[in-house]
Amino acid sequence: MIELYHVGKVYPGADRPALDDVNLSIGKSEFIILAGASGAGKSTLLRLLFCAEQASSGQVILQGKNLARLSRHEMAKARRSIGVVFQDFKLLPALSVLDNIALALEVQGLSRDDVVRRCLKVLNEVGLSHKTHQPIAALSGGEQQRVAIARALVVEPAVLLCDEPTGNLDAERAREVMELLITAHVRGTTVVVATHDPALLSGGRRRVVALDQGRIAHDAPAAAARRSDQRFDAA
Amino acid sequence: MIGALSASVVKHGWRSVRSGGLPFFFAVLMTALGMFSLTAFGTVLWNFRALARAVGESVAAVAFLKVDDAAAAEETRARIQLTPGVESATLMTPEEALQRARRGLSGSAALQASAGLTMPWVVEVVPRFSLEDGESARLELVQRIGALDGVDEVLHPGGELKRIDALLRLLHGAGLFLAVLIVLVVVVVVSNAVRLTVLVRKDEIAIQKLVGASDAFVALPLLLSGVVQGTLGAVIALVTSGIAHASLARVVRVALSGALGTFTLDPLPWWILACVIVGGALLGAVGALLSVARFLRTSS
Ligand SMILES: Nc1ncnc2c1ncn2[C@@H]1O[C@H](COP(=O)(O)OP(=O)(O)OP(=O)(O)O)[C@@H](O)[C@H]1O
Ligand SMILES: [Mg+2]
Repeated sequence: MIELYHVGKVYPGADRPALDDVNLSIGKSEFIILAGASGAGKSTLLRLLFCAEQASSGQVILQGKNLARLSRHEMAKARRSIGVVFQDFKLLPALSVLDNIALALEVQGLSRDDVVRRCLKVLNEVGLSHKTHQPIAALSGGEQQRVAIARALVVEPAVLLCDEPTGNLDAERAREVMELLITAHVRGTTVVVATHDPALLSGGRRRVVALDQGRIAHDAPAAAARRSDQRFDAA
Repeated sequence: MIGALSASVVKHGWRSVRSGGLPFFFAVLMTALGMFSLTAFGTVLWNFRALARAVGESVAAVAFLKVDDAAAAEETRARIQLTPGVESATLMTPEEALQRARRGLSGSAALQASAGLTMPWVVEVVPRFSLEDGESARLELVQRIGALDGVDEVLHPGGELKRIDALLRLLHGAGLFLAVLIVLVVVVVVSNAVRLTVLVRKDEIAIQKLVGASDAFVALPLLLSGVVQGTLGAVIALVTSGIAHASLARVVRVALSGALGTFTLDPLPWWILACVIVGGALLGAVGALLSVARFLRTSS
């Protein structure tokens, strides 16, 4: 599903690489926790995966396609199969919850009816049905976080990338968010979560990849839990 | 799929229009102003051409023949009639020609002097008139008739034609200059308005791209807002010039009629008006395209 071969990333003007010779293979339907201290390169790695940045060296392969070789059109198409939850949400504060989520479907050319139907369904799943027509600006941080997740999930992505999805939430809200991600994972989505929240590292069938100064410091395969044994307790 | 896409293009285009703010209205206003001056100038030119055609067709050349009898005169007339560029050729006997000449002379002294005057057979030639051919074509025709057998000399009052010709040329030149100027102004103003719209919607567009919007999905609403600006400007221009025409036409008719017969200020034909609207839309699209293309080049 996702392959990285000797991937390096040096930002222009930076004195050390943000990523340095990263080799990583992520299979279909894996649940990956990308751990590491601040500045370790977690966000950079995610940005490479949804084509917001180009690798300086090495190759990034997503669903069999070398991302460096995509045309603008193919890149846009690739992004439609990836759901991203950004560290800063990237929601439009003036638009309603519905319009924000609808955007992800509109770019795919779905009819208005389909768009609304799927948006309402996903809003129900994240527990925000009562906020459908509220502007984003009127929502709490935790609610905005869930809208961001809803927008990522509404496209039923093959890959879900989350950058600090529990960053500014209390333990209870963080657990709710993790449950949403786990639900998506159970449905077959490959999930990659970047976090420095140690509480997320334990439990469940999740593989922890730790970055340190742009290098993979340690890669622990998912606990050998059987598939039927779905103990996805977050904390 | 296409239907749904165009629905979102319209929806996001409307958002672009709404977020256009003051620059949007400024662009519409400038487009309207430019298009108004163009239609006003066009109306003047259009009517002047009609006037020039009327004058041009009324100016005849006179061919003096060197023939002795009516049969030879008629034969020469027929040959003149067949010359390309001749609308009509009318034969006058020497007597008729003399009467015509006398009528043209005023004052008894001149009349007395013409007592011993004799006239040859004369053919009055009305050239086929075309504004585009103008002065030089007319001179060529005169020379061609002069070279025919049986024709002695051709008199042609070219003065007025020359003046009309020069004036038309001047008006056409000025019109072209005005048109180029207005095209540039409209394109620049719309392009700036769209660029500001892009700035206002920067975050939204960035997010659209992150969730996989194609270039077309980003560009089309912006193009649409440019087209709306251009079209709106053109429509406003046409409505205003319609009102201006209605209130000015009578004044002009009263002021100019008499000297030149009845003169009416005709409105432009519908197809030119249609061209103004299409032109406004096109200019808006071009202006928007300039900004959007630059924006897409610099964004990933
Ligand atoms: N746009 C950029 N330009 C220059 N340097 C950058 C840029 N983005 C990140 N970096 C640098 O690259 C390194 C890795 O940054 P990155 O954002 O990937 O870290 P992170 O692991 O996500 O950190 P955090 O947990 O704080 O979000 C850091 O040293 C950072 O300063
Ligand atoms: Mg980060």
